[in-house]
Amino acid sequence: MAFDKLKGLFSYLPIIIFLIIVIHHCYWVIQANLSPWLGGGYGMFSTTDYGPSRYIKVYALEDNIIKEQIEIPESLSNVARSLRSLPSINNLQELALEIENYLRLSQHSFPHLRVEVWGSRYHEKTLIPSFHLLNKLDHKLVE
Amino acid sequence: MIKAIHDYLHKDAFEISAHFTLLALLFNQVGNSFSRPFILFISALALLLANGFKQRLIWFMLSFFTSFRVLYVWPMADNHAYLLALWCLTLFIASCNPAKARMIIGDNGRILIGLVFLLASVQKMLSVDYLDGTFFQYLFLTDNRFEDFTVLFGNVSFQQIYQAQDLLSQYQYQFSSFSTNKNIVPSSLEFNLLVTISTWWNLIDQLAVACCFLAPVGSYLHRKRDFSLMLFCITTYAVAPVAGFGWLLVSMALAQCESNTKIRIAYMSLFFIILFYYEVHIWRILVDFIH
Repeated sequence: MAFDKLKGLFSYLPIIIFLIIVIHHCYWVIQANLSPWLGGGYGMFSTTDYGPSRYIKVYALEDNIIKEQIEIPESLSNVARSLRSLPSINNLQELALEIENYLRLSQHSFPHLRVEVWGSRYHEKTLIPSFHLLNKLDHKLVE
Repeated sequence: MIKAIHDYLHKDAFEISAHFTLLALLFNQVGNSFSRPFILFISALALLLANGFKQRLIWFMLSFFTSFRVLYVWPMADNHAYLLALWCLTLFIASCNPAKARMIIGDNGRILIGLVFLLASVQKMLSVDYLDGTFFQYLFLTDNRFEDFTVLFGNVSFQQIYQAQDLLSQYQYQFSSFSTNKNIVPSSLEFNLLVTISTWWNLIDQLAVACCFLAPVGSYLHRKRDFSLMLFCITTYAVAPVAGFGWLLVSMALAQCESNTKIRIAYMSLFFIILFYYEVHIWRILVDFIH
């Protein structure tokens, strides 16, 4: 009897997994500003809040003062794309570490890096954007 | 030829749906360099071998590789990548239980389509910038895939679109809303109308598909589900260049529709209409013809 019920439930496993993915999507949207377009929540074509409307700013800091803005190298475009889509602490950390390696290779040295991810809202009539901070991380470079 | 087509139309729903899913996998070439060769090889094998589509190992492998592709790049995979993995899993479960295969693919196909459209419409209703038209204004002016359509129906020129993109880039580069305060949206009544129609048509159409597919079996809405999905596919995939999603929806829809020859012909034709949309850029041709 129990086996039959389990077998019946197994037939609907795709729907159960679908619902789990949706809950997982909602969690990351609320918790870490995951773009509604991604993560299996079927929010594509529903909002301007996706990759092209999100920006990453990386600054070199000294005594908490911005010394220089650092351009993200092309080789890190995939990491940057992931960060724009999901600006979680882990992804911020990953980009900061990659940039630290990149700076070390190019002989730059700063005590701190700041990585910020910004989102855009567009005016409903004019489309003029305004920007808001989604998440940021101050990263101490290893000496 | 006609007899062969006639015979094919009367085949089991599992066979037809499996064949079209395999075709969709071959046409769309999903995955990355690790998973794509395996997905293509297994799909081709399943189509070439006699009764290859019935082999549970085929569907297990396809479920594995399509799921791997989603997990490997999480959260970057498109939404239809998730649905494709779940649909391959459905076909695997059905292939393990041939006696109930028809019911398994029918129920899962119908409910999954309903849930996808329900979520898509709820996300639009909850979005901060969808219902006021901001999203479609932004999309039509910034996404190059839609520029021919925008020029044709929005009464704006390519130059106006590129000017809008330049202006938007300036705001983004200066990272300020107060730099020039120039209006980015071209002033065109037709463009505003196009934005309003696109916004509401998309929402209402998707909500209708969700209601029809999730309505109780036998109800009026349930009987109209195939029509609502076909209408969505014909209108949406003429404009949106996401054929892979369209092919997958048709493959799933073939699993859940009644064994009615006319409906099957309509879905199969739709599959190839989407192929036509994908390969022949009708808006580009029309723009070139008019200008």
